[in-house]
This record gives sequence, C-alpha cells and structure tokens, in this order.
Amino acid sequence: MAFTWSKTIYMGLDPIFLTELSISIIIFSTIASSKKSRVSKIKTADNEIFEVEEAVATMSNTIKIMAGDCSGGVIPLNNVHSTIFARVIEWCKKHVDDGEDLEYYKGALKNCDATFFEVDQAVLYHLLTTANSLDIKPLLHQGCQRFVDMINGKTVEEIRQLLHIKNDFTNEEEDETRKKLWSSVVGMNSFILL
Amino acid sequence: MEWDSNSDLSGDEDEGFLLNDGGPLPFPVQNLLQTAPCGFVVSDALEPDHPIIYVNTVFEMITGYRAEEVLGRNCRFLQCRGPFAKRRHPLVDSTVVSEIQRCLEEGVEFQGELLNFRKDGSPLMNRLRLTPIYGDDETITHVIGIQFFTEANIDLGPVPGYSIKESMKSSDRSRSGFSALHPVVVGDRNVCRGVCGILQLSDEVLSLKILSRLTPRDIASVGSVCRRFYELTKNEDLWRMVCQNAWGCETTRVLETVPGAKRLGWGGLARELTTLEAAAWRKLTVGGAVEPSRCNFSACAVGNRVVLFGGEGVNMQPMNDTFVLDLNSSNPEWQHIQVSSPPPGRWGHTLSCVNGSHLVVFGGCGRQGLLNDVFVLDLDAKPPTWREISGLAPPLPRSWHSSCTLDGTKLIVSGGCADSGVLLSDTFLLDLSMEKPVWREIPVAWTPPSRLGHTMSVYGGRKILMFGGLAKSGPLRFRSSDVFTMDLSEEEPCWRCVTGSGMPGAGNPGGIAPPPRLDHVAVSLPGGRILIFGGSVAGLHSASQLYLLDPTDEKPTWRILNVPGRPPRFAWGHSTCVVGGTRAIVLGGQTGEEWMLTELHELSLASSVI
Repeated sequence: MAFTWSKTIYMGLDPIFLTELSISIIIFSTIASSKKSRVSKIKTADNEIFEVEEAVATMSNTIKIMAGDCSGGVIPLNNVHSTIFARVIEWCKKHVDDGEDLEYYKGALKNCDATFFEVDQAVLYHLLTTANSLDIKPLLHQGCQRFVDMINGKTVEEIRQLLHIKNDFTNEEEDETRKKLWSSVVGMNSFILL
Repeated sequence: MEWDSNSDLSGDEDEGFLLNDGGPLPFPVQNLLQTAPCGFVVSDALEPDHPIIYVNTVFEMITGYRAEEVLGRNCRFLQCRGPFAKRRHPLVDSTVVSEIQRCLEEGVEFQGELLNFRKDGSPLMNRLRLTPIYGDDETITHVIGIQFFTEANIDLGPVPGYSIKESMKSSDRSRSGFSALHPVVVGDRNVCRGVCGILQLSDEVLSLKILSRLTPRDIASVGSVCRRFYELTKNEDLWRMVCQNAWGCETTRVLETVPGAKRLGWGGLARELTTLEAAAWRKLTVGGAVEPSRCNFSACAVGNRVVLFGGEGVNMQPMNDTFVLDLNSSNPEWQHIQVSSPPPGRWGHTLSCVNGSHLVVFGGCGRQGLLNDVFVLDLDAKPPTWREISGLAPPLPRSWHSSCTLDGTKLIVSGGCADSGVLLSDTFLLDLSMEKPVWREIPVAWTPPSRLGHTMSVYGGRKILMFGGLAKSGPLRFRSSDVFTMDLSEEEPCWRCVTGSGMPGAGNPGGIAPPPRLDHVAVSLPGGRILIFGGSVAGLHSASQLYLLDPTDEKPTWRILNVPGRPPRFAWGHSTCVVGGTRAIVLGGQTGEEWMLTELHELSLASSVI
C-alpha cells in the first residue's frame, strides 16, 4: 500500500524510527484489511452454501465453536434448512453491532424487528429452534418474547385461536379447570365497580 | 390494495371477479372463472421471475400455504414437495413445465394439468390455466393463474427433508432444548387452519423462556388452554419465577417468610394475592404491654416482628423507647428492648424497613422542636443498637411527613410540616447502602400541593404513589384524595396526577375515590396495586372501608373491596404496619384515643395459618 509522508511533519524524525513505524503500519493495515474480508462458508442441511461475514456468522456461538474446529473450511449445519438460515442471517446482519443486552432486544422487538416475527407459526417455531441450536441468545430471547406478547392479556379461547391449540380436555376436566379460573372466583366479584 | 376475495365463489360465469374501484388489475376477468371453487393467483410479469402478488383464500385453503408465505415467490414452489424442498419433485412432468415456459415466453395462454403438492406434502392435481395480461404498450404486465385442484392418487411415501435425530419420547424432549425437527402438522382444517408452533417446543424452552415471563393472571389462563399447558403450569418453580418476574426480587424475598407460604405454594399465593379471595379481617390478642402508654408512635415490621418506637406520652412528652412484638412465637407479647444510645424521643416521625432487617427513623417532633436526624436500628445485633447516620445536606426538620423504601436500600421522605406550621412538598432521597450516605433532593419542575399525613407507596419497581394527606389550598388546608405518581427510573422524574379532584388538568377519576383523608394506611400489593383504608376521614364515612387502585392500568379505577370479618373502627397510618407483605397489622384500632395495644386487628390477604 502506498502512502506519502508529509515532509514538514516527519522531517525531524529519526530515519530508523520512521522505517519501523512504516513497517508496523503496513502490518497493521494488512491485518485490518484481511479481518474485514474474512468470510465464513456455511453449508445448510439442503446443501446450500452461504458465504457470510465472520462477524455476522459468529453471532451464533455454535458456528463460532465449529469455525474453530473447521479452520477455514465449510461449516456444516445438519439440521438447519436454508430458508430459515437465510432469515436468521438477515437478522444477524442487522444486529451484528448491537451487543448482548437482552433488554435492548426486547425493546427492538417493538420497533425495527416487529415485522421479522410476524410470520406463520411454523416459521416462528423453526426460527426459535434454529436460534436455540445455533445458540444465538438475543434471537431466541426475541422469538420467545413474541410468544409472550401474543399470550399477554388474552382469554383462554383467544389463546387457543391465536396459537392454533386444540382443546384436548374432556368435559369433566374442562369443568375442573373452569372452576380454577381466577375470574370465576367470588373474590374477584367483590371488586364492585361503583 | 383490497381484494374482495369472497366473491370468486359466486359461481356465475358471466360475472367478473369483483374488484374494488381502483384495484390494481385494470382488466376484466370474465369467463376466466369456473363454477367450482378454484385457486386464483396473480403474478407480476414485469418483475424478475414473476413473483406472486395475490392468491385467493381457496388457494390458501387447498394448498395449505398462507398468502404471507408465498407472496413474492414464483409459483413453481408448488412443484416441490413440502415447504423445505428446493427441487421439483421427480414425479412432476417436466414436459408440461417446458410447455408452460414456452407459452409464457410467447405470450400465449396455457392450459394443462400438472402435479403439485400441498404444504404438508400431500399430492394434488392442478388443472391449470395461465393467461397473460397485456398492458398499454403491448408488454405483458401480469399473468393470471387459475387452478382447479383435485386429489392425486399417488402414494409418495414419507415426506423427505425432515431429519428426526432423536426419539420422540417426552423424556428426551425435556432433557435438551430442542431434540428434533418435527414434521409440521396441519391441524384439523375445519377447526384450526394454522399450524401450532408453540406446542412443538420442548418443556424446558416453553417454561423457562416463555411461560416464566407471563404475568400470574396469564399463567392462570394458559393453564386452562390444553392438557400440556395444564401440566406445565402446575410446577412450583415456574410459579416462583413468574412471581419473581412479576413482583420483583424484594417482594418475593419478603413473601418467602410468610408462615404457611410453603403450604400454599407460589401458585396459590399468586392467586390469592391477585384475586384477594382469601382476604379477611381478624382479631388478635397479644400479651405484654407498651408502657407508659402513648400515641403518635411509629410502627414498622421486620420479617414477622412488629417494632414500635417513640410516641407522645400522657404529658405530651416525646418518648424514645423501643418495643418488639414477635408474631412468629406461639404467644406473642410486647417486649421492651434495652438498647444502647437510643435516638432522642419524638412523635410524628416515620419508621421504615431497610437493608432487610434494619429500621430507619427520620424526623418527627422532639423535646426541642422538629428533627431531621436519621437513626438506624439493627434488630438482630446483640444487643439491638440504634446508630445515628449523619447524612450530609439533610432536608428541613419536619413531622408528619411520609416515607418509603426504594430497592430495599434507599429512604425517600416527602412533605410534612416544618417549623412554624409551614407545609412542605419536597422529596428527598437517602441511599443507605453507601458508606457515607448523602441526602439528595429530587428536582422536579412541578410539585403537588404541599401536605402532611399523606402516604407514599412503592410499586412497579421504582415508582412511587402519593395519596391523600392534609393539603394546602391557598390559605386553607383540606383533606385530599388526590393520587400522584412519580417514576424514579426516569432521567428526569416528575410528578403526574392519576385520579383525584379539584386539580387543574386532573385525569378523570375512575370509580368512586375514597373520601379524602390523612394519616391513613396504604398497603402495596404485589403486582403494583395499592390498598387504602383508615385515617382521619372527612365526613361520616367508615374508616375501615377498603379501596383498591391499580396505577398500572390504562385507566386507573378505584374499586371497593368487601372482605369478611370484623374490621377495626379506626386505623392510623403511623400505627399500622404490613408484615410479610400479606398482613396489615392495625394497632389500637378499637378506639380513637386510648391505646390498647394488646388487641390488634389484622387484615390478612392470603390464607396462611398463623
């Protein structure tokens, strides 16, 4: 790499020092530029190869560990499909500089990541399982928070409809659970709204 | 973009597909629909690879793919078996596919039959008709696909592409986070159209990462949804996590000491403290005596022990002795505690619990006038010792102020009556966890009218709620029923008016507010609600009526709580304390003047055996 020294600044410096300085600058910038371009190759279960920047890929602790074992080769992910992996990488690219604070991600769920999780339940499930197996804690945290938000404040029937859960109680069992519902308790009725 | 998708089942060939005015397709679609329900797909021919821009509900229902999943993709995914296959299934006739490509390239209509697959992998025969739509300048802008689906009688075996790594036994499922990719099951189409994702997660992830973050009320609902959730929500550890997340560590720690809490369990405790179904008044008789008798003392609880300090004796002299009543013992009785170096005598002071088992006294009226000193009592030291805290920059000396404890370590005092009867409205904070505590005034742009005899309660972590008191109104003073809150976790905390009367810009009061009062009792319930009763009440209202307010509600509303049992006739804020977060012990509630401290009234919120 070429660089020009300003004569007026460096005139007073010892030439040997100047040489050492220039060598260390060359070494440093080579390291820096090679770090920038380091790319991880990841192969998903359906044999698709993804080339992802190392900083993005190592948001997954699993990939980080496997990269150490593979040392430059292709990292195989045997139980992640490419469609899901593509989404996960899209999320990682967005959050590569956002750190580890889970509270931040909980907040982001309401802003920049709101649409990311408005997906079919099957996709949401696969996103969560992949976040878990790839050990990407903030993504798992957000995905789970999405379920929490879906359940928050809903009645029993609303929860069933929203999450597509079948009511598998027998009639007797359902009577029992209805008795245990908090809203059916007399004490609640003593909250007289005047 | 609005599509009137229900109208394509009209069945009349002459009627066009009804589009709203201004819809994106500027062409008539008569004669394109058949009488039987069929799938209808529109793709954008100007975009690369002809992405789908619309599918109708028939398409969604028959193929099992929802619109959100397929918009933007090319229709060829239907030739792949299942949502994860990337290649066309070998049984799909490639000559038909080439014919489709030829027709699209030449811009002519295609009609033919093609093997397609639903999302769950089952095969469909698709009698397909593709019609190109031309724009103004003779280029094709859209392609319309009409699909008439029928069942295909082909046995294809299990759906490939899913690897089941471990066995499906529930014990394995709960051991590790996610043991397998389960084939996604489309539910009974008549009942639930969608796929249930959440039940496929393992017990561990469900409990630790999703259920534990729900409020107690939500967990109760979740437990009634299906069998699996019912089993999961019976777990005591889950309830403990839920309570801790909902109420905070401080409250949960205090609740652990409630006698009978283990028998009730966290689930039972959460339920009773939310529904208040077990709340009741009880009468307690205890032994010992508090002598010489006094009034205007302060009482506060440490664990299950009630501590009483100071007060005004019969000759109006300020007293400085300390008494303890241990409610855990089988025969509780008042005991006078010998302490070294007690604080100067006083009345009208506040006593609050800090640092777990310490009590802090502030202010009050002493022998030589009003005080602003701070003393801390370590009840577990042998012998119990009062220690003065010389905090720098103390607030003005005062009496009948209110105090509360934030985070278990910070003392907050506010308002009260200063020298020459001036009412105050400031708020000061003293961090007692520091080596050398320093008083800090909380700067606010606006304060509620100054007052004495009001209460301050902590809720939702770092928020305080101020209620009632005798408030300044011009040259006069009136009992107040105003509610103000402040969020101390904000950068610049400020007072906000919640409900109340007479304040300019006051929020609409919901329900019927308690009659205005001072020196009342305010109990903070886990989850943020405040219970108000007692005090010196304006008018002829009963002092023992219970009022409940949830300041975290969208629209906070006062509610009246009716509980069984005989309530006390009087209850004063300075002589009532809350034991273990669940029992409000009212001292001297029988009469207004003579202090009989052996007959106690207790409002217990949870059914614990004493």
